[in-house]
Amino acid sequence: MTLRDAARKLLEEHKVQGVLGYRKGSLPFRTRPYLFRDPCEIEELVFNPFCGLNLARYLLFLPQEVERVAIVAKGCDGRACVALVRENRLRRENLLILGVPCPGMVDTRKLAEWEGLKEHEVTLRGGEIVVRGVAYPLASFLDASCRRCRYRSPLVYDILVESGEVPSLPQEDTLRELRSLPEEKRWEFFRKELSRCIRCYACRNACPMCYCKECFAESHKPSFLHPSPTLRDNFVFHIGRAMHLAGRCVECGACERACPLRIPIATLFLAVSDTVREHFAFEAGVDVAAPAPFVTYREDDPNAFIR
Amino acid sequence: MNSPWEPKIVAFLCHWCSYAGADLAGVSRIQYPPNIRVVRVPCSGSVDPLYILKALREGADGVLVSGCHPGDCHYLSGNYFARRKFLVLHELLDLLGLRDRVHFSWVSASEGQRFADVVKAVTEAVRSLGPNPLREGESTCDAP
Amino acid sequence: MRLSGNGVVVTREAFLEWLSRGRTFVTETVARRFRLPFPSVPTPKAVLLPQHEALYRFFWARRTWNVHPLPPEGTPILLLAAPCEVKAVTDVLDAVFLGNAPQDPYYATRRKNLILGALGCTFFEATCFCTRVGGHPLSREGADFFALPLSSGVYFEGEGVSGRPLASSEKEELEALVADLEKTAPPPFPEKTPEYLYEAFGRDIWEDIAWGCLNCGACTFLCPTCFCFDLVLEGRLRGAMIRTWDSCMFPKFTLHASSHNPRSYPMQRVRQRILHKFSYHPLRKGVFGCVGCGRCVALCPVNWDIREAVERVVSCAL
Repeated sequence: MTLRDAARKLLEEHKVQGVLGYRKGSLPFRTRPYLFRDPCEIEELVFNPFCGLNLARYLLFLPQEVERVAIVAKGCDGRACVALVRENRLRRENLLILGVPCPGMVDTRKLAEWEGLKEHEVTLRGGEIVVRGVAYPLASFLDASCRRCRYRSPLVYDILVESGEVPSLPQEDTLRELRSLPEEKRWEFFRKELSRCIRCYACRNACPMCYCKECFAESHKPSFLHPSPTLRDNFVFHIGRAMHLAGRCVECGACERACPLRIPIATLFLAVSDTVREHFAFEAGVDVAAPAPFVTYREDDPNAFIR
Repeated sequence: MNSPWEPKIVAFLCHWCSYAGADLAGVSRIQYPPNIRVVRVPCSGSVDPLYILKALREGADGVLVSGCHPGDCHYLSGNYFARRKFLVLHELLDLLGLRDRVHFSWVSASEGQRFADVVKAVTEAVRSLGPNPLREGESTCDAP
Repeated sequence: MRLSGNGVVVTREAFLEWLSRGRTFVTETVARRFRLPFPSVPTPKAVLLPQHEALYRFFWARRTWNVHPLPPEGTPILLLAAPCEVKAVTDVLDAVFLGNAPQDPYYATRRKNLILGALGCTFFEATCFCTRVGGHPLSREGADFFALPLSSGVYFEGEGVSGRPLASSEKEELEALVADLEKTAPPPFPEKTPEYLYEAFGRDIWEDIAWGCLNCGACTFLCPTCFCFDLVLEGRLRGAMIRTWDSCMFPKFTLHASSHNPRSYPMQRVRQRILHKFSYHPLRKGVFGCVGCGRCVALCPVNWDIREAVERVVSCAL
């Protein structure tokens, strides 16, 4: 059954009051989130490699009358759903996960290198992307988080949509190059990127796991940082947010895609996810029952870094 | 303002072990570098990573967080939870290239000499790194 | 036709050489379209209203508060921007910061020392809509000089650069360009748009329109006409009063001291943004509070399109 058929059926049979999905945007290669309420609207439901937004972000912002919702979920979005259920923000029975295997999301900014590119000039063919007749390996066009993705298909789902050929691209260790740099060069990289940030909070607001009513960044008493986008305040914001997302980040990359200045901000959160995975054997949104890494401990937890 | 730069290190010490250890060092007249500024907290587990980041934001050149040895926490498990949080922060700061700015230690109430040794080691480590690199761009709050 | 046709044509090299004589910046729009060897700013207001500036320094000494204003240096700079971005400065920012007494002295100093040049546009991008809000891609209004790249050089209107008069082929090129732009120009919003929006405040449609918006603030920070700022006192016994950009999208933007917040819901803030730019501002000042540069549309993480929002509300009223 195709995605549209499954979604339409759910609405027609009143299994859900809304389907959270993607719709064509007002610009080439852009899609936008939409809450489909009427079966006849489903004609406009799309799923393509330009659907990088994490729809799970909207699960906590639904109109009151939508009690049960279906969500079109890529692997990472599915993880976010599971993580939100585990954190008791959602009831599992009110959520219908419409899983779609994901080929990886194309970095639309890379396409901006071709002037005046039209949508019909870009096609996907297996593990390749064809732009104006020239084929390139798809992996080179994907976002950083997609290149290292471990769960392209949602692990927890209610309906899994069969799709055509979804290329299984190898996982790339996108942080290896950065980690191999000497200390001064690493600081130089982060100092430059953190200085560029204008603190628009697009990254935070696009994240499905950042749902605090009052973010620590907006707290006045106590005040951890000031509104000014100076290096030191940006440092507190991003490292602080990374600590708050430790063990909760689902590695979807929506933050980096949302950034208007193209700062590779996902680097921080992906690195923290790696630490949690390596030392505490925990990945957010993979197992509904697993205890969160920071409400438990082991007596043999790593200790070598402590004097 | 002609004196050479001295690192300023904020030390979060848990009341039951590390703070008592520091106190013992003082009472025993054990000398250690005066660069640390102590903040007494109930437990190393109560140290929010944001405190450490705030200290760095305010210009601290280094931060030390010290608690009871694992198994000896006055609140039984506070330092175990702290250990996990601190590992994540430590590896994150390591990625950023700020590895040796933030240090962690387990110092018990009876380890006065050891506390002095830890402070000496941390001070030297931070001194060799130089002033806090986050101070760039700061101009107006530093009135003469 | 907004151009007088009385300008001159200079070579690209001469134009670049003239620009290189002082401190020159280009906006990101210009940098994206032409390879120019000058640093770019993401939005034109960054050179007039910096995102972070210290207004005055203070410290406690000799048993009193010592306060020292920190006026900007006033070094002359040149900013090369698209006509819509020039309009943002002259029609909106100038009116806000210089229009009423007392004038903002920090803005005034920077504005006095700014040479604002308009680099005409030869086509409409998918996100452009300057003609919908009373602008024009070849407008010279408000700019200190105007330039337009031609196939054989740069057409220049203004002082400081000497060149040759337009050749007839170049005149034809300009006329063809004007005609082409006329054909492809997005049509203006309906005449009573500000009034329609004003009356639509209480309608149910806003929940639907606002849905999808992340309320992040990216649009407001990069918008050339957004001017809201926050004042923050940093330091205790010594410090500074810092002015930073603020955004109506932030939940605490309208938080009162009483802790009441009239715009605590995302929908209310989105509605406010549309009404401010397309209703309140034009009703009070006679110009739209938006110049149609399209940054908000291009950079919005969820492709929330302000043009569509305005159209939907207006079509409800019609």
